[in-house]
Amino acid sequence: MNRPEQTEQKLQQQYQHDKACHVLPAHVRRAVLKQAAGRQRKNWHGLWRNTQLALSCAFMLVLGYLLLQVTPEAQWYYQIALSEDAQYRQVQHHGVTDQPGVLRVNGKDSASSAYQQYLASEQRDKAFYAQTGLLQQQADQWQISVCNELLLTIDKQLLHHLQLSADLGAVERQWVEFISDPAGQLVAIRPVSDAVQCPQS
Amino acid sequence: MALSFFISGFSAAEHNAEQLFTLYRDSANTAYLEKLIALYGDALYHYLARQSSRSLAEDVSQQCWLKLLEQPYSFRGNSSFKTWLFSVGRNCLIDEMRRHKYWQTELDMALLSAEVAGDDGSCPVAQLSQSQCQLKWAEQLALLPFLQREALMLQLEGFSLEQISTITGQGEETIKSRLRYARQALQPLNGDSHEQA
Repeated sequence: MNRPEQTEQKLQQQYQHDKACHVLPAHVRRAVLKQAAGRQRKNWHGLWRNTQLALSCAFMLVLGYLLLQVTPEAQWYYQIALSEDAQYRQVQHHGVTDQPGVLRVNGKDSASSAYQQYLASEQRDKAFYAQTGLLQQQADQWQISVCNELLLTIDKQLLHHLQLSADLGAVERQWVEFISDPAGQLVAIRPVSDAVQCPQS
Repeated sequence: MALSFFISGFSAAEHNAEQLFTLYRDSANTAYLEKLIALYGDALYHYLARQSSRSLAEDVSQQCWLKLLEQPYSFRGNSSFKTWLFSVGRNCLIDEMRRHKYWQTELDMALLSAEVAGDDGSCPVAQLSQSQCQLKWAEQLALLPFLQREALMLQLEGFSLEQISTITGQGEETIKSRLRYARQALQPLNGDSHEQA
């Protein structure tokens, strides 16, 4: 072993001896571990708190999901408003509203079934009422006029809900037969070829 | 990570310092911290004690380990855990020395007598090696300037030039220079020792 290596070895020995005389005092070690243990307890508290928070969120989510399942869809109600007009004896405005009323819009299926019921009815004159009128399609509503007797306006939103316009083309003016149920609710509108001859007033 | 967390609870396998640190950070299990302190607590304390005083070394050691508890993500794994620990220790020490207005020569001179006298013989190794040589070495080491002593001690502790550079924030050439001066200062002592041996 040459001299530099011996010197280095000696230096290393002296360093190790010196190091062995300077060990971390036990009280410092204990103090650090004590603080760490305190933090560990706090961590468990934090974990428990987080777990509670997570469980609460999960519960709220499940509850929200369940409520969503049982909450009914937004309800629309069939509204018939009457007004007066100098030209017509009666004016009816058929539309929808979200305010609860007597007549609830049940959608196409219900209107179809009512129409089927109308077709099958033996006493249709009593239960349902069919009239023929001139349909005029406009941008925001349709109008059906029956001579000077009746003007019936139908809101586009109602048409959308009832989907009555499937059989009707895009013709602006055409003769149609429209059928109302006993409550006056429209159940069908269908095109007809024959025009109505209005009596001379 | 979650898997390692659960497995670690049942595994008695030995881990390196970085693994121990990660396990401690993720589980807050003090057993891992205890192992880390057992690994490097003495080395850090020795470095700090030789660079300051025993009381200051105790304070700074405690601060270092507490920093690990308070800021577990301050170690990002860019260096070894030991390098990071010594960097933290050095920074804390310098802060404390500035606060106490100890620095460089003043500190060295003030602490020299205390440190040599501070070897109270409680250590079995010290009792066995109460040779004049060891005392002289300690005196000579204490007489070295702070930065030279630091470089030498870190190298003797096993750090590479690159790691010492990381710890001290100085370039490797500067570290080499400090090491050379430190060795030159200790040369007569080692030479005498060698001849005596």
